[in-house]
Amino acid sequence: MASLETNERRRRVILLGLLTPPTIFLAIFFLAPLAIMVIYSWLEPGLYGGVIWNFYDLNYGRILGWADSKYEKFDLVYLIIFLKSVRLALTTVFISLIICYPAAFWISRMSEGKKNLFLFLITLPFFVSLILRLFAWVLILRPTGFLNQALLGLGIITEPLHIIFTDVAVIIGMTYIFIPFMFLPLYASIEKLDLSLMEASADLGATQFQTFRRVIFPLTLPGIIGGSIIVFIPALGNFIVPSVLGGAKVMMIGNLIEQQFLSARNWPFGSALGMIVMASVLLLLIYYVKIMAREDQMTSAPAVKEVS
Amino acid sequence: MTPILSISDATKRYNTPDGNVITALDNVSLVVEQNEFVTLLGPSGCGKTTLLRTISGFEDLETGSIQIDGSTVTHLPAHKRPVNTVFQKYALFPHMSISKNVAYSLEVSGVSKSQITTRVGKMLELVGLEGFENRKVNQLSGGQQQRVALARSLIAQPKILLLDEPLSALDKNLRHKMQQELKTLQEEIGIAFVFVTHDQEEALTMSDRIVVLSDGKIQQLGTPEDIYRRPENEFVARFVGEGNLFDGEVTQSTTKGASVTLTTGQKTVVSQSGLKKGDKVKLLARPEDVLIGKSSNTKDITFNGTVDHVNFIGAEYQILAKSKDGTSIKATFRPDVEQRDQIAGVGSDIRLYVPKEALHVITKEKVI
Ligand SMILES: Nc1ncnc2c1ncn2[C@@H]1O[C@H](COP(=O)(O)OP(=O)(O)OP(=O)(O)O)[C@@H](O)[C@H]1O
Ligand SMILES: [Mg+2]
Repeated sequence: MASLETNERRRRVILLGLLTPPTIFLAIFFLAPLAIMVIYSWLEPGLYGGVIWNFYDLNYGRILGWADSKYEKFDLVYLIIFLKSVRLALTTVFISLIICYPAAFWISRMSEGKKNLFLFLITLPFFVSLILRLFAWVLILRPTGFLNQALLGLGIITEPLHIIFTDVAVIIGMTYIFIPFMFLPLYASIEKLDLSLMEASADLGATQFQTFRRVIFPLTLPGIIGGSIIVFIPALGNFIVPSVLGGAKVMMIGNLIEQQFLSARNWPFGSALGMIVMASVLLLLIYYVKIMAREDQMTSAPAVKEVS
Repeated sequence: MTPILSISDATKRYNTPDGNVITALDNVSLVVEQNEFVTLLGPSGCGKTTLLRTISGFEDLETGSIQIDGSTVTHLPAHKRPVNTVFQKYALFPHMSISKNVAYSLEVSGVSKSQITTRVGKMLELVGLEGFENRKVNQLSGGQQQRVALARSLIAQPKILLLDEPLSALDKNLRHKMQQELKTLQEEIGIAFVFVTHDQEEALTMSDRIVVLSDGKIQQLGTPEDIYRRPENEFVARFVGEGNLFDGEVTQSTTKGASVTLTTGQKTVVSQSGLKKGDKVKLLARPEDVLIGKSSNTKDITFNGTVDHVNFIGAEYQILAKSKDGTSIKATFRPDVEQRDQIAGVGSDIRLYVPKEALHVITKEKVI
């Protein structure tokens, strides 16, 4: 008994020793900037940049509606930009899901060598700078660009399409850069799918659609949700794609925050905007975790009781 | 009565990735009667699974046709065929509870909720799994999963149940128990079972009839006794059970039987008719038909040699004996209480014989 206890204590000491360095690292480099953001969002902006150390709730008031127009004005435009960003991010998630789901199926059925080749090809864009790739899309999408030239040449259109600097261009760009993030978690769950389950389903009289709805979809759902979250979060806060492909016409919440920090030099307001994006993402994640936990409870046994 | 399953001239070929063609089924014809328990038996790669999958509809035939209960299903997709399969690794749905698994075929065909509940309850009772409704698949033992797979494929009341080596993943004791249960269940519900195994003992104990397959061809189709006692060719004789094969030549043939001279020079007679003088034949004697002692009939095959090997396997002793000219013979005995101490030891001389009535003549090597 005594030796068991000392063993336990030794284990704890070792664990503590191992966990301390990463904890300190995370605290300094991850939590500290976050804390600065949180504090700044409740401080008064200085007249020429910088902050005044007063408690000040009107950064949030400007966005959410309790600012009197004495110092700060409430403007609905911030919420509209936020909601538009949500819409663009969701569209990006949806389109990349539609593209990646069948592609992942297709690739998972290939021979081992081909599979690896395709997985490599999917990660290939990461080897080239993001900015460069986005400017390539400018060349493709602009009125005199590749796409319009091709369509005009084929006689499908008579006037060049105005895609560049629209929501469509931003969605195309975001879908393009986030496809690998959607693909990999989807592929991981589809690859694991046991083919004999589909045969069993057909054997039991299910049509292909029923097999999809009752077997394939539920078994790949974790991959779908995982991929969607991994794409949605960076898409929501993205500012590079809208600034390159959306020009001055499309503004997402990321651009607004960037503007506040870099050109308007209003760090408190920028921080408040950032906090709101973060809070909504957190709420989404908490909701997801809750749903998953409930689903687990529903499908697993009401606890197999062990007889002791 | 129309047979429940009738396959005629089924041929199926596969192209392998390296450009070869494998004939997995070669002109297979097979009729299964209502309520019959038929076993497909054969070595690995002989086409058992392929044959089963053409019945269930997962593989298309190149030529030939399949009829189930009188109607042609050759080109019907799997989900429309009135047969269900118990897969080798069960293929239970991991995201569903046991009762959901069992209810699956009823749910996809739109049976009402209340009906499903009663039928699932009855089915789980039939396979002895009451109280397991809400468990998940990974909370069951291998044998229990086996039963769920059975219940799941039986609930839709298929006309034929197909089973692909369903017992191979179970340990020996459980396998014997499940063999009994399966057989009882089949008699109870009264539908035809087509059962795949490469375990000959399993095939012999369970089947009404056995189909022995090799290289995609049917080597023999018959009752377990036919297959064991009267194999039609050397392949079947060697694949099912242990045996001694003596080479010989027919020296005289009548309507009542034939005289055969063995390569050792011994003369014997067999009761098979239709043999021709000069035919090269093999005579099969199962080890349990080899007796210890001196024969009183000159036409029995006798063997004098020394004991090379003794295997004690509980109820019986297996003896391998060698003669001076190098031929060997296998024999098994179940000695009674007084004889137990007299089992010859390795190296001692032994005298054995096979009564001529126990001999079975084999003229062909294999169906090719
Ligand atoms: N999809 C396929 N492509 C190519 N060849 C195949 C395919 N399926 C089976 N074969 C070949 O067909 C032959 C018969 O295979 P089958 O699976 O029917 O054997 P089996 O009798 O079930 O063997 P086992 O006892 O090992 O399960 C084998 O030679 C196998 O290699
Ligand atoms: Mg097989």
